[in-house]
Formats: sequence, C-alpha cells, structure tokens
Amino acid sequence: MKRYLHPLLSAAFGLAVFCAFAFPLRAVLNYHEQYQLFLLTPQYLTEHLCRPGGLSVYLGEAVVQCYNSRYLGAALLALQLMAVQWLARKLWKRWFALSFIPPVALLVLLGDVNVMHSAVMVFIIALTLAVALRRLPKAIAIPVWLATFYWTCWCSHYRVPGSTVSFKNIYDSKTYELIDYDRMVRGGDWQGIIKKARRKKADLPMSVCATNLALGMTGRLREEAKQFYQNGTAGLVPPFQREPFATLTTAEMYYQMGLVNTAQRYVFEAMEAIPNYNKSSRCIRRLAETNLVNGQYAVARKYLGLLCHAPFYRKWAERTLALIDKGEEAIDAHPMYGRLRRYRLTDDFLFSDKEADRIFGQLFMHNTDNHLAMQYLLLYPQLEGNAEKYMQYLQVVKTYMK
Amino acid sequence: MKRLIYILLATALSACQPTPHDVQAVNALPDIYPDYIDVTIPVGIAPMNFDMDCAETMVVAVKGSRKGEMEARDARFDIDRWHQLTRENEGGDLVFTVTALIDGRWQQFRPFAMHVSQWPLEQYGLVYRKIAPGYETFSDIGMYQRSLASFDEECIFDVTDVDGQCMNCHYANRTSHEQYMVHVRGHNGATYLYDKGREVLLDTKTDSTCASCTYGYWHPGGRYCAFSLNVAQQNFYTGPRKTIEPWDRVSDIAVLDVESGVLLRSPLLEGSDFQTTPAFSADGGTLYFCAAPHHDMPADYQQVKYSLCSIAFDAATGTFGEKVDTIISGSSAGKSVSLPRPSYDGRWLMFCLTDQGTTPVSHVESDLWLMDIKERRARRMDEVNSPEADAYHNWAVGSHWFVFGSKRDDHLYSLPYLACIDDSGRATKPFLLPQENPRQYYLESLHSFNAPDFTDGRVGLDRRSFGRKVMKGDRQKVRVK
Repeated sequence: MKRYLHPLLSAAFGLAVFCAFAFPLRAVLNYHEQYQLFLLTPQYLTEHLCRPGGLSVYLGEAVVQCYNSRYLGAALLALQLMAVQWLARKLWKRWFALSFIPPVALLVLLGDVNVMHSAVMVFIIALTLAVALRRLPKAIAIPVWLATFYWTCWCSHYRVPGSTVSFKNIYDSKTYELIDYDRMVRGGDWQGIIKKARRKKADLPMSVCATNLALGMTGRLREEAKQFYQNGTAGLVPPFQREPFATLTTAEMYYQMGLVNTAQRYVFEAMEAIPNYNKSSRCIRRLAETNLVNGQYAVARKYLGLLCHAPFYRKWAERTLALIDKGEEAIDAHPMYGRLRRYRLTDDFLFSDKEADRIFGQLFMHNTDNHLAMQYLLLYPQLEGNAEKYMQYLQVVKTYMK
Repeated sequence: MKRLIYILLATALSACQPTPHDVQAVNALPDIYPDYIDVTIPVGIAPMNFDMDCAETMVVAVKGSRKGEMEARDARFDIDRWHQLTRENEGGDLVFTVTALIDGRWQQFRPFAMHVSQWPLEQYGLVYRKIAPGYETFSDIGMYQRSLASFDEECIFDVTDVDGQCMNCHYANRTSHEQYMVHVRGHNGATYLYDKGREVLLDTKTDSTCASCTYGYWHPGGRYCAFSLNVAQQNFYTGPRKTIEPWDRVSDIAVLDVESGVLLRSPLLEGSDFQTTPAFSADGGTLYFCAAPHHDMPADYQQVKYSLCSIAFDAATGTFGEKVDTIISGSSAGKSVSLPRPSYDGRWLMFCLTDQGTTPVSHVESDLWLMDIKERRARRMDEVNSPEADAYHNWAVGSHWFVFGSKRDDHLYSLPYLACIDDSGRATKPFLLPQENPRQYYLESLHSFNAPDFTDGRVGLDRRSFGRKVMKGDRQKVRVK
C-alpha cells in the first residue's frame, strides 16, 4: 500500500487541479488563451529561440493555446504541476511532502491572473536542469545551470507588465467574476450571463455592459433592464479605455449591432493594449470577420492565413477561407456575416460614442430587423433620464415598425 | 569533418527534391508573390526571392541579357551569385524562367524579365518605423533599419527601450546616418538629435508655440531643421470604406536652429490657418509646406483642402521671405496636397494628393504626384500608383530612386516599395522590398512599414544608452526667437 501512496497522492493532486480549472476556474483558461497568438511555424519558433527566455515562452504558449479546450487545458495544467512536483521529488527524495511546495506555490501564484502561465514552464525547465545536473560537481553544475536557465527562461515577462503585485490579486473574486463574464461574452452564452447577473448583482462597468448585451441579444433589454443594476449610459455604451479586457466586451456589443467598423476599431485597440505586446488569437479571428463583412478580403485572408498556422483555429480559418472563395452570395447567406452586412451602415460618417443614441437610431432606421439597436435606442434616453427624448425615439420606432 | 557532413546532408536533401520531367509549356506568366515581373532593380539589391502559392516546388533559371546565369530551387537565390549577376547585367535584363510542380505536373511558364537599372542606388539601406496600422493604441512600435543588399533587419530602438512610449519617425538629413532626429512621445517625451557624434535631447514645447515639433525636414546645410507643430486628433468612420480620419486642431511651422536650440518663426507660418509637413528645397533656399484655411474641426473635415505653398528661407541669416507662394491651390483643385518631398538634385517635387486632410496613408485615394519644379507642371504617377493608399515617399540621394509606402497588398498594411525614375521623370514599376521568404514574412508581419526613408550607412544608435537618456528626463529646452 505504501508503495502506491506517493503516486496516488500525486495523482490526487493532479485530479484536484484538473477539476478546479475544468469547472469553477475555467474562465481563467479562456482569459490567458486570448492574449497570445501561437503560430506553429518555423519562423515563430526561431524568433523565440533567438532571444533569452524565448524557449520557456514558446513552450508556455504552446501549452496555453490548448486552453481553447477547457478539458485539455485543465489536464495539461494539471500535468505540468504534477511534473513540477515529480521533479521536486527527484531533488528532495527524503521529504516527499516538501515536493508539493513548488506546485502549491505555483497554484497560489497562478491565482493572480496577471501571472502568465508560461511561468509554470520556467519551473519545469529549471527543475529539469537541476535534476539533470545534480550528479555533476557543483563547480560545473551551477554555471551550466545558470547559463542554460538564462537562455531558456530569463529575461521574459512572467507577469503582465505594469500590473501591481499584491496578495489581494490572488483569486480575487471581483476579477474572477469579470473574466467569467468575458468568457461568456466570447462564447455568446447570453443565458449564462443573465443567470449569473441574477444570482449576483453585476455592478462593475464591464459586467453591466455584458448583462445589457445579453438582455439585448435575447430580446429582453427593454422589459428587464430595470431589474438589473444600471450605471447610466456608460453601462450601455462604456467609454473607450486603453485596456484589452473591457474593450472586448464593448467591441462585441458594437459587432452584434452591426457597427462593424467600430467593433473592428475596438478589437484592434484591445489587441494593441495587451501589455506584453502579444497579439491575440481571439482578436485576429474577430478582425478577420470584420474585414470579411466589410468586403476587405485581402486583409481578411491575411488574418485567416495566420490562423491557419494556429492549430486550434486552423479548421475555422480554412472554413472561412473557403467561404470567401465561394463569393459574395455565400457570405450574404451566412447567418452571422449576412445579417451584419444587412445591419451595417453604408454611409461613411464620423463615429462619436457621445452621440451613441443617434447611431443606434440610424442603425435601426437602416434596418428595422436590428432589434438590438432598437432596444439600445430606447433604453439610452431612459438611462439619461430624458423622458422627452425617450418619447421621441419611441415615436420613431413605432413609425418605422409600421 | 563538419564540412563533409554538411555537404553530405545537402546532397541527400537535394537528392530528395523532385526534378522537372515531362515539362508542359504554359503560355502564361507565373503568378508570383511579390509581383516582380517587369520591375526595375538596382545593382546589388538583395536577392529578389519570390513565392508561387499554387506550386509544390519550383526551379527558377535566371539568365543575364549580357552575361551570366544561375538557377535556384524555389526562387531562393544565392546572395553572392545574385549580386554578381546584377553587376554583370547593369543596364540590361535578367530573364527568369519558372518551372513549377503544380498538381503533380511540371509546368514551364513564359519567361519574364527584371531590368537592372543603369542608375546606382548607392544607399546602405532603409529606415522605417514598424507599427500596427491601428487607431489610438500602439504596442510594439520600433524603429528598424534594413540593409538593401541583404535581408538583414535590425532594430534601432523600440518601445521596450523607452518604457512603452510612442515614437515618431526618424528624420535624417539627406539620408545621413550621422545627422538625424527622432521624437519620443509620452510622459518622458523628447526630440532626440544626433548630429555627427553630438547627442541632445530637446524639449520642443514652449509657452509661445502651439505644440511640440512633429513632422521634420532637415535643411541641406545641416544647421536647421524645419518642423510643423501639430495638435493632431482623429475620428473614426462608421461605414465600411474608410476607417480613420486624422486631423489637426492647430498646426504651425517653425525652423529649429539645431546649433543654438532656437526656434525661428514667421507670422506667415503660424496663426489660425493650418500649416504642416515642411520640406526644404535641394538648395535650401525655399521651404515647401502645405497650408489650408482654418475650419471648424472635425465638423468641416471634408472641407480641409491643403495647398502646396512655399516661402523663401535664408540660411545665412535664418530668416524667412516676406510672402507665401501658392504653387498648387487645394481649393481650386478640389484636392488636398500633402508630404511635399523635393528630390535632392532639385529637379522634382513628389507629393500626395487626397480628397481632404493631411494624412494620406489613411486615405485610400492617396496617389503620388510628381512636379517638375522648374516648369511647375505636375502629373499623377500612374506608373507607380495603385487603387489603395500610396504615400510616405522619400528620395535616395542620387534622386533616381525613391521609396514609398503602399497598401496595395491588402488595403491595410503599408509596405515599402522602391522604384527608379529616369531623367524625364518617368518611373518604373515599383517592387516590394525583397525578403528571404517573402510570403511568410509579409503574412506574419502585423506591422505597417511607416515612413520608409533611405540611409547612407548603418544607424549606430546604442539602444540601451538611448533608452536610459530618454528615461532620465534631462532636456535642453528650445527657445523661441
């Protein structure tokens, strides 16, 4: 029995990690995956290998791309932490319990969403090197370890640059709530968002925006908006911020409404605001879509061509490339892209989020099937507390609905 | 021993590659990327490697019209043989015959030519800013230099050196790598001046000027640098055709005396009207710039049509002329002139023409125009323009080559194209800056090559020292005369 105890404890640890990240913490996987664009090309590999710390980043990104699948992602994360524990055990044979300190410490660190998951790979490489060199004399082993560690792991960001280091960030419930909203917005889980907002008041600008969008997408915004917390028009149309997280939710709202150019701008801004200068698979995918809807096929093909080298996006990219090859009619008939083409405004005028209600009105008048725009149009003056404007907009809606 | 292993490996690999057999002649030109068919190249340019998407592999035979030949698998040319071939065929042609394996069958396409110009380029390379063609937020911006004879690209400095701050383009005096300026924006903003070993960080915002120095252009004598001082803003379009409309809230022009750190001004170059993008003539006696009457912005953005203007400048006294000459009237033409760039031999002036505004790279209709300075006759350069934005042009010192940014590839990303111009002002078909693996390089690049310019030597800026100086915050304040 004693023979099996240690492996069983390791397996139990791995299983616990898997269950945590496959279920309650699944949004974390989505959060990290969307802030990188891992390409399976020789150029991408050599670019990383050529710089100090590049190997750990490359391997870390290779793992994180698998977070597209929550079960695979959670399993890989669990296996990595088990590997850390196993390597620690190799180093400290006598004290089995101590071997759990590094993976548990890592788990605590990973509770801060600003700590990148490639940090786990650093631990694995560092410990693997230590295990491999442990039989050599220290005078040789230490310099070799330092040199190899420098080239494979050092000089890379393992935290989001500019983020504050604080114990408060570790498994912070507010942050985790927001990244869960973000996951559901990305996946179009509108019912899930509403359910979550009913369970616990959504009172942060981003969660309010996500809730309103979910209500709008399910056609319940006019009737049910008042049942949820509102923070004025900023909850409907959040002002632009130079940060990637909330901007993506706002971009989704514009995209679903048919303001494709504005959505494209927000997604581009979100990608450029990623603090470690990474590009984003989620953003590139959406940019391919906005360009496709706008008929900018050359740039859409460029983005899709890139995604063809991203293993978890390849199939989708190939399907979308095939759709472009089929021509305009096929795109017009596509349930999402066709709808957006019918919704989007065809006149070029300058966008202003301070006059968002005017743009909602134009979208609605351009296509009265655009119920999302209609709902936003009618809620906007209510949130402003402008009854006169509301009556005016209601009249417009009634006239056009006839 | 090592050498033997390499030879054996290379032999083994080449043995694995299919060789053409049962070749079928195709009466069409090959569909290659980049489109290098019929382009004119300078002697000593990097190998013009190309790709053919539909081909599994290809064999390319190159024959000089005067001398020499070479063959390359997959159009990846040996750099030394390539340079030799361009030298041997200066003023002649290189004829390319592509035999490609497509759908399991070998096909030989009609040969095409690249012309080797009689005009030498005589520049070390290009300098450009790599930046995502975005809106307001920019992440991994960097200044880069690229050798024209090889594929070597080197970062001069990037955002990581200056704590993530934005940077503007690099302005060199007649492509000199020993006299140039760079702006860094943000909380530690500065104008970095490098003048033959002298380094100065300038704070160019003063109480009596509307903004910091923005778009710059050196006086050929090297003592002065003309700047526009812009408070720039931008709006974004809702419709599908356009994305961004940058505009100036205010903009004036001043000339910086780099020796004394004094900004020279003229009442004719400031005020409520807009004046921007100055450029000195080849002899330094004239300052070209673009000007438009004041408008309520952004409401009237479509009415802002910049004219091409000039004013005399006396370098000996640092004084301006007393009248502004309008060379091309924006309101009469119904178009807007931007980025005047006189050739260094004094013959030509190249500029962009758009429907409105002053940032041609954001305008799909932007075309390059060429004016004969003596005769004041301008024409649209149809031989180099594309349906997409063509802008950010700069001359090589010999004035027979120019580089410009074009979005012709995909409508969004501006890439550097080079073209040759003869004595009569006729330009050749431009070619995209060659890369070792062009399709992959340009596909994976998510940057525009902003404001490309030539450089006569390698810019030897020490990145770390530069970054430290910028972050330290010591600035020489410019004064106003």
